[in-house]
Amino acid sequence: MSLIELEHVHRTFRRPDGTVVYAVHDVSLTVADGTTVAIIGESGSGKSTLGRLVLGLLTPDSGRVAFEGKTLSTLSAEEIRRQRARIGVVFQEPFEQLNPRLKVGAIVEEPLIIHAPNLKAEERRQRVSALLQEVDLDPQIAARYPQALSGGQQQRVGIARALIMQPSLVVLDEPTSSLDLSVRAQILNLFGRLKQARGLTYMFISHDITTVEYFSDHVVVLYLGRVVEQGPTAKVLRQPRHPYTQALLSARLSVDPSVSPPHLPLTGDPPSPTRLVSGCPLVGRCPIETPECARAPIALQTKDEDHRVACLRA
Amino acid sequence: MTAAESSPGTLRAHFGLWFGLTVITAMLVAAVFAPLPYDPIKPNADAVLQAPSAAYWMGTDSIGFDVFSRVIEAARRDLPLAFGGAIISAVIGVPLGLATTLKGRASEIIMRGLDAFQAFPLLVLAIAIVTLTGNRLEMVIFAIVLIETPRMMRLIRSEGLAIRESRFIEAAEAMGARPRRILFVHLLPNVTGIILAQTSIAAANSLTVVAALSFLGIGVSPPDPSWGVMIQAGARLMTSGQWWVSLFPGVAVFLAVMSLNLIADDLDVIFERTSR
Repeated sequence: MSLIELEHVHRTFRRPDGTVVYAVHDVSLTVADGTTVAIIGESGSGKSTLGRLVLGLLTPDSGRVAFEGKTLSTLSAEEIRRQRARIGVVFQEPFEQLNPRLKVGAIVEEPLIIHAPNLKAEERRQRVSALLQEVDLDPQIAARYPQALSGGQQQRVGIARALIMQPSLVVLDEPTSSLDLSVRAQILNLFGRLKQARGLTYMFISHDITTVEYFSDHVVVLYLGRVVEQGPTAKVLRQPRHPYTQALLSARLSVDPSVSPPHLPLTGDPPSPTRLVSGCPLVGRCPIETPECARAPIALQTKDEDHRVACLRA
Repeated sequence: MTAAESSPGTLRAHFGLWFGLTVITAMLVAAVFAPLPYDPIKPNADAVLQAPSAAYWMGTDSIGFDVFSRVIEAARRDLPLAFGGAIISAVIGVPLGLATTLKGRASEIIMRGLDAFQAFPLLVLAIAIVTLTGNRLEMVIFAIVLIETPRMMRLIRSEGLAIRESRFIEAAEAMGARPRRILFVHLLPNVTGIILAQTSIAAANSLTVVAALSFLGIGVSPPDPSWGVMIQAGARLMTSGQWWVSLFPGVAVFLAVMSLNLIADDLDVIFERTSR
């Protein structure tokens, strides 16, 4: 069963000067229950916008976003609020996501206060305590302010808050990119363990390909708000077919000497997301482009069972 | 940033805050409890323009009023007006200011309307209101509230809009918090320092206006003391050497206004430090 379905989702933003930014353009994808799907791309590729569309923090201009079979646009504000209990979110900035004026206990129990108002304070306290232990924090930490914690501890508090309503989906918006390497490994292991224990589905937004390779089942590659390639992690990262994915991968060093990523540098700068291109968004930078590429939108084509690529020459 | 830095121990390092609080508290305690050595509205014709002495600590004025008794008595009138005006402005301005941080065109229109109020000088408005409402100094509170409430709203709005962009607000929205909860649980505690500091500044402004009004003779009837009236009464005597008549009420106004500003400055620093 697919937990999330996006069908032809578009989302634009209007800048104060009136120009329109095409943040997410005609994106369709599904996330199956119990899997980890990574959304990768450079900054400005629309990754975070996609996350916020799934969270219901943003509404699509057109297209359909469905969670657990329910289309978000058909729900009332109150139903969307209730739905929020089913989705947790962990942000990139460990400290900025926590209210500096609330103690850790109050931060973690807040979703309970919102969604289970009849729960007694003592019951809430016990659940917070149990969850803090589950994310490897001393329950005593509930009485402290987030400023007094390390970045790794703050991120664990964020994770505890995301999990307290026992959500089915957790959106991880670059949750490890501002952490030290050693802490990063611990947090990733924690995500793995929590997924096992709770049967979670992760939507993992990242630009760190090494982490994605280790962590996710499926990969979706975004470029200028469009999906250019998607499929199982092994296929997309080991045999990338889209020239953009190949360039993205060649930009990192592989630890596996048997894998020599094709070196296909892109030329030029990424075009502005304020310009809506008719054909392939990579036209002008692509090493293998043909005149055909600029003519019409390029649909995702299935190449190898579940490996899909939006490239005429792949 | 550790928890220890926000503990009261380090607050002692904030001299201005403690000095200010001590002065203001002493003035309020004196205004409420101090026994007055002489009746502040009954002059003694036998003791006119006496220099400060053991009998008359701050001397007497040209009518024979004891300056010390009247400085204290004036505090009973001036301080409640200033504090009352500032506190009412905060009580009205804070919730309205928070409300205008919610998205919507209405809040933009409200703020533009409030700009008109702010362009108006407080003293001029105060003179108009007090003289038009039967020349009673108490009415200055309306002028204070009319000017200081929009200031408070504007400040809360600008701070609040910045905080609204924070990740923790987005996290609260993502968990399904209602707007009221976001305003009062997430925004309000993060603007507490600014509210306290601005209230203190508003009280200082108000005190200056109260003193200025009574100095101009607006809203006061003769025997009742007010710091401004007393300064006015002694102003002409300065040149003839009777400095004490206006000096002591002047010092009272100066100390109170300075203390309130010192409190505001240190509150800004303290709250800024504990939240970032």
